[in-house]
Order: sequence, then C-alpha cells, then structure tokens
Amino acid sequence: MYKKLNSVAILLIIFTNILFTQEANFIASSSANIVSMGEQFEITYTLNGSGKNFKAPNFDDFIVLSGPNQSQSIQIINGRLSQTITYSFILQPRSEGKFTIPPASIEVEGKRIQSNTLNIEVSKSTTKPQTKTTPKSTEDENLSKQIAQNLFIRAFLDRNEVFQGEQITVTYKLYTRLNIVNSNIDKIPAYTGFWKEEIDLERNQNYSIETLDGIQYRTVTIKKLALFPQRSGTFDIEPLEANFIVQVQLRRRTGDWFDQFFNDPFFGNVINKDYKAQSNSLKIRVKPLPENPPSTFNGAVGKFDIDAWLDKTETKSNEPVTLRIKISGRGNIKLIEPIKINFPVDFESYEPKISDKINQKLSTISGTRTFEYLLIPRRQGNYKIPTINFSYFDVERKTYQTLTIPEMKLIVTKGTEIVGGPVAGLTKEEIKLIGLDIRFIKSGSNKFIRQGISFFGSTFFYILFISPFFVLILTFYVLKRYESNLQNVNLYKNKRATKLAKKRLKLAKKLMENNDKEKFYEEVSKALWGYLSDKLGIQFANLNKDNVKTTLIHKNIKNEIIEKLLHTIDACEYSRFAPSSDSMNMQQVYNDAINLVIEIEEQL
Amino acid sequence: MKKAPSIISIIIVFLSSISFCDEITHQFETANDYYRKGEYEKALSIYEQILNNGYVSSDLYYNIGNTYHKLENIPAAILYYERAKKLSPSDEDIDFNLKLANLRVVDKIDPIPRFFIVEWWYSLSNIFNSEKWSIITIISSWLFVLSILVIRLINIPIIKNLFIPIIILSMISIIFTFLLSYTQYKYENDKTVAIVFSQNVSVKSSPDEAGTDLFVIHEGVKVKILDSLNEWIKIKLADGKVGWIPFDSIQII
Repeated sequence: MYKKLNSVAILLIIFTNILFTQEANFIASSSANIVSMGEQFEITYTLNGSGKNFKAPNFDDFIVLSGPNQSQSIQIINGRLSQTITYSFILQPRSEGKFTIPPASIEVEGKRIQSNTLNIEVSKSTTKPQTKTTPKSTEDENLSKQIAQNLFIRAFLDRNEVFQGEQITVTYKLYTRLNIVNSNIDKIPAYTGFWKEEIDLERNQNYSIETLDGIQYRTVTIKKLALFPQRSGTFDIEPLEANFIVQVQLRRRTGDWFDQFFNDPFFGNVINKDYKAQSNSLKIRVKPLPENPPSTFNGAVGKFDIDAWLDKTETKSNEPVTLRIKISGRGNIKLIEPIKINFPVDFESYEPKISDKINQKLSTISGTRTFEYLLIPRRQGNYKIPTINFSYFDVERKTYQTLTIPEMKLIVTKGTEIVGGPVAGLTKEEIKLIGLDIRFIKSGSNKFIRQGISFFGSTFFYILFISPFFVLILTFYVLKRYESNLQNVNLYKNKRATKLAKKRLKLAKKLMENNDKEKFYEEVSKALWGYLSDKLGIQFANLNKDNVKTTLIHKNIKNEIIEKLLHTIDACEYSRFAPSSDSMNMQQVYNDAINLVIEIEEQL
Repeated sequence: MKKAPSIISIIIVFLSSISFCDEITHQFETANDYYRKGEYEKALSIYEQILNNGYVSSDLYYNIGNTYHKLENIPAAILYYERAKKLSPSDEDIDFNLKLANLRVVDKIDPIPRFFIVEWWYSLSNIFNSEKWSIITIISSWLFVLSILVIRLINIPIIKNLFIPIIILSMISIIFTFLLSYTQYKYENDKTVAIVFSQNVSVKSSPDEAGTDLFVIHEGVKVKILDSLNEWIKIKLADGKVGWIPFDSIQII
C-alpha cells in the first residue's frame, strides 16, 4: 500500500513540477498592425498554459465582427507537455487614426495576468504598405476564387423553347459549401418582352443536398418566376446578382506554430467575407403562334375553361342585369382581353369590370379572370345574348381551341318606361306634337263600299270613258255621209244645169265660132230670156228686167248673180244695138251666160 | 282588287248594298258610341264585324286606327290609318293621327327623298282617290268629244274660237287624269307595303336564322316587300336599308 501511494505522489509531484516550471505567458498579437478602413484583421490572445475567466479588453475603437473564438491544444514539444489556449477576435476599424487596444486578462492558478497592448494604425488609403498588403491582396483574390468554387448561383429554365404567350419558368438556385451569414438579392434581370409573375417560395426553405461533379453542395431555390413572352424571337436574360456574407476559413502564410491550429477548420480562424455572386445568363427562344388564328382569338395561350351566366333571367326594363364571363385555367391569364359581345341593340352596355385571381403558389401560373358586364335593357321584350366564342392556343395540343357559350335568354317585362317615349332625335315639329292627342273618330259620312272593288279599270268605267269617242266617230261618219250625199246631189244638179246651159247656148256657140257677132249676141239674149221664162214660169212676152229681178229675189237667188244676169243681158243688148261700142269679147259673154245658167239652176 | 265582271253585276251589287247600308251604318254608330264611352274593346269587336261582312270605308278604318291607338297598339293603329289613307288620301285627320302614331315608333328612319317631280306627282294624285279621278277622266273625255262636235257643226266663228282651247285642255285633262287615276289605283291595290308587328326584329343579310344581323327594327316600322323565300321576306326601309325578316313579323297594309 505504501508503494502505490508513493508512485502516485511522485507522479503528481512530477506533473506539478512540470506545470510550475513553465512560466505563464499571455501574448496578444494582430494579423496586421497597419490596416485600412473597411479592412478586417484578427487579434489573438495566446496563453501557454491553462487558464480561466478570460476577460477581453474594450474594443471601443473597432467593430467586433466575431469573437471570442476559443481554441485549446495540448502538445508535447521537446519531451515536455505544453498546453495553449487562444482567444481570437475579428475586428474592423471604425475610424482612421492610431489606436491602442488595451490588454486582455486571464486567471492562471488564481493569479490574474494580462496580455500586452496592441497598437493598430488605421489608414484611409486602400493601398497598404507593401510588406503587409501584397500578401493581403493576393490573399483576397485567392479568397474570392476559393469562395467562387464553393458558392455559386445557377439559373435554370424548365424548357428551351416556348410559344409566344406560353409560360416558361426560370429558377435561381444557390449552391454552397460554405456557411452563409446573410444574403440579399441585389439585381433582378429586366425580362424585357415578357410578362412576369413571381412564384411564391416556401417560407423557411431547407437546404437540400445535391452532388455536382462529384462534389456535394447544399442547395436552395432563391427565386422562381413564371415568364410569358409577348413577342416571338430569341431573348437573352441577363444574370441575377446577389450579395452574400460568407464565413471563410483563413490560410496564413506566417510560419509560426499557430498554423497547425488554423489549418484545421474545426479550430480554424474564420472571417466573414462580403461576396457578390452572379448567376449564368439564359437564352430563351420564343416561337410565334401558328398562322390563321380564329377570329375570336385574342392572345390567350395555355389551357382554359370558360363559363358565363346572367345574374337573373328575368328583369324589368331599365333595371340592370349583370353578365359574368369567367375564364379559368393555366396560362397568360392576365393578358386575356375582354371578349367582344354583340349585345341586342336595345341594351345599354358598358366596358366590363375585370377581376383576377391568380394562384402563385404552384409552378404553373393558374387562376381565373372574370369579366363583369353591366347591362340595362331599355325596352321590354324577349332578348337573347348571342353565343359567345372564346379561342385560345392550347400549348399541349399545339392548336387553337374554341370554346362556346350557348346563347342566353333574357325576358324583359315592362318596367318604368322613360317618360315621353323616344326623346332623342325628334324634330322641332315632332316635339310640338308629342303632347297632343289624336283627332276624334269620324261619324261615317263616307259611304261604305264593298271591299276589293275598284271603279277605275272596271268595265263600267271604260264604257263611260270610251263611249264619247264612239259618239264622236259615229257623228263624223254620219256627217260625212250626209255631206257626200249633199255633194253628190249638188254634183248632179251641176251636171244637169251645165248640160242645159250648153244646150241653150249651143247655137250661140256656133255663131261665136263663126264670128257672127250680131247674131251671136242676139242668140245669147234670146237663150237667157228663154231660160228665164221656162224657169220662172213667166210668159216670154211678159218678161222684162224688173219682174225677172223680182222673181229671182223672191226665189232667193243671190243678189250678185241677179246683178250679173242683168248686166250680161244688158251687155248683149248693147252689143246688138251698138256694135263694137264695148270691147266685150264673145267668149267671155258666152262663159258668163253659161255660168249664170248653171248658178241659177243650182240655186233653184 | 279584281275588276268588276260586268255592268249588270255592278248594278246588282249596288242595289244589294243599299239594303245593307242601313244595317252597317247602324252597327258603325253603335261601335262609335262604345268608343265615345271609352269601351274600346267593344267598339273594336263591332268594327271588325263590319269588316268581316266585307264592307269598308275610310272612316271605318280611321276609327279602328283610333281605337287601337287608345289601346296602345301602335302597329295596328298605323296599319289601319294607312288603310284609311288609301281610301281617302287627302284626309287631314288621317294624316295627323298617322303622324302622331309614327312618333311612337322607336326607330328614327330618314326617308330617302324622291325625285321632286315624282314627289309632286304623288302629292297631286293623293288629292282624290282613284274613283274620283276616273270620274273626272270620263267627264274630260265627254267634254273633249263635245267640243270637237261643236266646232265641226256650229259655224259661228266666236263659238268656234271659244271651243278650240277647250279641246286642247280637255285632251290634256284626259291624259293626266287617266294617269292619276291609275297611280291612285296602284297605290290602293299595292300589297307590297307592310307594317312591322313584332316588338323587335333582327334584319338579317340572308333568309336564314343563322344569317348575319344587319340591324334591328321595331314595331310600327313601315317596310316595302321586295322578294320572298319560304317564310322569309326581303324588305326595304324608307332609308334604303335592305334585309330579310320572317314573314310573320309583319302585316300587309
């Protein structure tokens, strides 16, 4: 028993001797003594032993980005057991100038010991003193490269080619192997030529693990958008940019024994670094829609259903009715234009009210768009809203589809009519007449007639109309006959008279031809008197000019003939008893005598 | 209207109508009384009885028009006023009431103006109905013939000089009045003008329910019938618009 106890005691003494033979050392050091504004640097407090109750100094002049980061290690060097504890802080200067960082303290075996102070100079310029900065800038570059290998954003399209108006989804995924302290999206691409609708991501997304080229990454979707191209062509989507604050491990170039600790990430010294990541750019090809869309197509692409209804099927005139048309489905809902509907003429209609319900939770944008038409029928009647056709381009079947709503009936009963009937468009004259009443009924002074019988064009009418002409023709005919008769009679009479006259004066003619003047005139005179005696019924011996004249007048012979007769008789006498006193030629006398006889004959 | 077969039948009809005359007049008076009392339905039924017996007059049609107007049946009122007008074309009351009734027609149609001579001719012919014009024609033709005979037979120069212009005038008169009677006769017997009776009709581009709707017309509109096919008729409005409507949406004047 005493032997065991002795060995333990000896060991204890050795250990405590070992411990006590070391002097406690608490050293403060900085990764850089001259830093510039915005630059981070590390302060490390190293204790070559064990201690507790580390008290950090006041870093008032600096921003503490991280710390205290504690690490411990036990090493046997030169056969001796050595133990170290380090406490490190990452600082960033607040302002330019020269600053002193007061010492930190730690309790070692009951005694509090202090570290040394540190002097840090903060300069404005980004260029640092050569000796210190060159390793720093390359270190920066290397750091960036290192980060880039372990953290990047990838942009994906769900397909390469779409039709105009068809949805194409773009997803931005973050791939990282590093811890991310903070992040925000800096620059979103403009997506010109597309209507975009953001797709909601789940809150509190969890990282999932993906392997790329044999390396495992943690990934998470940072943005997802549905794009609907409004034109055809090829479009470039610029990269998305995001800022990250990443925890990066530092690799030191200093050769001291701290290296071995820092190289180990578990114990290692990490700094938070700002890093700007960019996604890849994308190329989207948009095909134009097939030619000859139906006339009722107005830009809807996707897959849709249509429904329409009136809020009532019976109403009164001047009371409003609402027609709702609901288009639901997947596709470019917000780009669907109102359907042109030909409402009946007697309806007052207004521009439809459009309301949308878009579901952004799913990857494919879906939802409904409702058109509300307010209609006011102005007159009573039975009306029909005509059939409504809606066409869209079906992306699955790659053809145009047309959906039809059958016509809807609306019965409009008599409501409150607008007073005065149609007011618009009346002339001044018409306005004067509006308030007047119709004229009173008639008492039937007009005779009743049988319907359907017309006087004009009837046989009776034509008889009455044509008959006077008949009468006319008849009369003329009769007259003509009469006159021709009369003429005949006259002609006959004339012939007879001529014959007679010629007979009477035959002798006279002969004498004339013989140029027996005296005898001629005697004969003419004799003939005339003889004729008159016969005609007038007067005895030859009793004839004289006076009673011849009287009798002839009595018989209504014309005066001029009487005168001529007497004159001729006288002429004959003279020529008989006074030869060649007058230059009466025989022929003329002869003619006169003939004519006289004829005329008297005709008139008797 | 068919032309009366012969004089004899005319006379018979005339005689028989005299016997009916009193009864008809009596009925007419009864109906008018109802109208004055405001019992329009009763008045209408009696008026229609007279019509059913085959007797018409412009007064009858006018009174029926008034009755329908009071009953707010505008297309029927217009129809009967137009029928009355055919028998008495220059009656002011008919014209006035027709104008009032037309005010109640919803559609405002601006008629295409006709060539002014045509318009003038129709205004002239509307002074009398065809019967009166026919009588004037007959008188003119008698006058014409008599004047010729006078000139032919009477040898007194003064009279001859007086009657020569009469001949010319009466000849012109014959021609004119005959044509005017014919014009009125055509108007009175025209079966191609109708009034729309349906509340509203869509006038289509083709005689088919599925034809394109060109425009809408309402009750009371006067249309001219151009053509027909099955149950459809092709109509023309006063402003020249043309289209097809169902036959049963109208009634012929």
